[in-house]
Amino acid sequence: MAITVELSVNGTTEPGGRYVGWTPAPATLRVLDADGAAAPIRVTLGNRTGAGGKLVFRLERKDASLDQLDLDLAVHGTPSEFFVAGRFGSSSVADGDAPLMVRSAVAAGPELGSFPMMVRIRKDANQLGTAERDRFLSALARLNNQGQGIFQSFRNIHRDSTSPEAHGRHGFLPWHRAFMLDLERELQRLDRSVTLPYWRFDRPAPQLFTPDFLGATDPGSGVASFAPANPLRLWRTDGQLGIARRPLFDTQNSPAHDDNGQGVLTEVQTVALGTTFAQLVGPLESNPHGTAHTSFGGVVSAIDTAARDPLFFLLHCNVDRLWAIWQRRRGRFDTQSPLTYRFQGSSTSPGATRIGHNLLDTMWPWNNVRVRPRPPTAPRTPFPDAPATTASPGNEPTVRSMIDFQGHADVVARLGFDYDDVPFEAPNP
Amino acid sequence: MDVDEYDRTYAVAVEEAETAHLAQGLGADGPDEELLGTVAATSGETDTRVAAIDQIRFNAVAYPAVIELLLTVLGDTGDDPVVRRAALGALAESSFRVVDFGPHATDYRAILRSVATDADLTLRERALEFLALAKDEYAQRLLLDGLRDPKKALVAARRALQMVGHDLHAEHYDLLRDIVASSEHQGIRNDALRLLAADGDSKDLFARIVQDASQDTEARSTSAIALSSLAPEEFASIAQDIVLDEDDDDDLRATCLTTLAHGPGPSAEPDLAARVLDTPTAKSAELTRAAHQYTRTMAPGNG
Repeated sequence: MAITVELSVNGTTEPGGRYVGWTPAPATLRVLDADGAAAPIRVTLGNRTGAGGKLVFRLERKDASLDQLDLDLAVHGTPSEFFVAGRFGSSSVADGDAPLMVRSAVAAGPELGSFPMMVRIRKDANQLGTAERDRFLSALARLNNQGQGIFQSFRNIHRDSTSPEAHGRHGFLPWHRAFMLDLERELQRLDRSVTLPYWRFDRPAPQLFTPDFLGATDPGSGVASFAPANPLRLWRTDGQLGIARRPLFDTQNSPAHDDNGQGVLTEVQTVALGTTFAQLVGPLESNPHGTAHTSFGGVVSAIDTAARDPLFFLLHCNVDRLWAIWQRRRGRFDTQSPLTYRFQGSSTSPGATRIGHNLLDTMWPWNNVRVRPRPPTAPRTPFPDAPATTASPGNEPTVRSMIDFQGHADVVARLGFDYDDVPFEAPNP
Repeated sequence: MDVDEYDRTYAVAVEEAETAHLAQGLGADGPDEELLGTVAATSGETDTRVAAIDQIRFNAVAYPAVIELLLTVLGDTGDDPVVRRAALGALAESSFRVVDFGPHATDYRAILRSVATDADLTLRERALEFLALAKDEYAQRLLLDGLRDPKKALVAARRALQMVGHDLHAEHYDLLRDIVASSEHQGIRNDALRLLAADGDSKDLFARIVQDASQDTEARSTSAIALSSLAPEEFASIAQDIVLDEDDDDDLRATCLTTLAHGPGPSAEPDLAARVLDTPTAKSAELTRAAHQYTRTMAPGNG
């Protein structure tokens, strides 16, 4: 016999829970078989040497992160609690490539367990590895299933007729955060290792706009061209085959701009737009958001048709990332502060803004409300859960539930995603 | 990566950007009257006026006077086309804030309609595309007229086809089938085939083209994908034959494998890709990639 241990991450011992980002996830380790030991067994948690994602550990959530952590395990099976996260800058490239290693803390002690985990992070699409890219494309194509899959419901909720739910008011950012997370969770039902990559539109993205990824420019047809083995070659929405998309800038060498050279604000210019949410959201919705959309001709350049193009989701993932960066720089996670979100009540509160854009409002379509002033249909309901990684935001997300995505002010609020360049730790003043 | 070092670098950059915003007037509470005057001065230098538009477009939708000025510039056929293009870019960007832009939407569409027949090709194309995306009947009629009679064409045929595709109806399919049958331009023919992919009556056309080795590879590939959706069973049978035909085009074989793996049709043979990889003949990198992807996708438990 040998000592055997059991790992639980995100509240489950199932492998489906073993996905972490930079945000610390609750974990426990317990002894299943003490092999006759009578005193607590001291173990060291750590990483495997070599390539792959890397983990860090904390005893308390706000502790500094450690590459190794010693734990004393009770021999009778009482779980020892700790937190596990990815080491910032060391994300996974494949499922299970960040095993949590449990070794006896005795010098040169034996390995007691190796638990495959993944540091699952949203990444810059331009820097995505080939295998990561292909997994994403395959999952996306299967979700679309040549226009017969559930992707059509994503396309249908972003229309001119539904636009007031999502645009033109402060809920613009929270609504689209929910939209991105909804899609990502559906992709993860097909392939757990997939995350939504982002298009960093303020930089050239020569690896993104290629036949092997989101399609190259075909100036003749104005339709994105794909390699024969790229499953986006089959992309179909509204019954039509192909993606009408015509860049107005040099996708290989330039950041996004329109045909007059009017370009997107850079990342730091966006973060510098203001110190309060109210100062940020309006200008950001025009530029860089609107500018990025209109840096192309084709479906992505109009609200009613934009979600027909997969690029839409990478564009909005970056918009969301910009908000996340701004939140971290400005410390805007406390939902009770009007600096974090201006409209603090619900749509019936004094001084409220349009329904769906107040902090306590639920958001269409996930709330399944289909009476005026909401749209008459609700194609995406309920919001998909991710029980293996987090309980948030629930099946009817509110504006508030989208704000504290790393669970800074409220640990339960974490949404289970992180960006490659947005650490969990607060900036050092 | 050291988070503290990352933060130190970032903080300096943000501080510089904040300073730059203020210097450019981007943080101002309202439009700068002098800038508005520069934009409005039709006798001004092109570069100066475009630069002024680049500044006032920031958060323009919050200020009705700015949007109205941009609409005036865009709609003035006597004004400098370069400046008008800049105005159109700023308006398109602002239109994404649909609630605030709402009061201007009717005027915007009316001006786009007038610009759809403008002397400037770039303005014409962009206006027609925005209108086509909005399913504007007037723009649709102009585009179809141009496809039926090249003398009336406002944009190149392939651009017109792309735009017509934004609001395609069954009544357009005859025209598209005529183009497939008669066009000598392979690109135009392929574009028409792609748009026909939603037409159930074109199923036999697609089956014929995909099996005709004398046809253009792109046309066959488009036909294969279209057929897979219109007649999945028929496609699966044809595609498996093509995939295993070592004499056929590798790109078409790769397209068929990819379509079998990701399309809505019946389950194809799980070992189909293995049979392709096992053959001793040379295979293109793309066919090999498609075969490996097929194997991964068809593996038990995947999806």
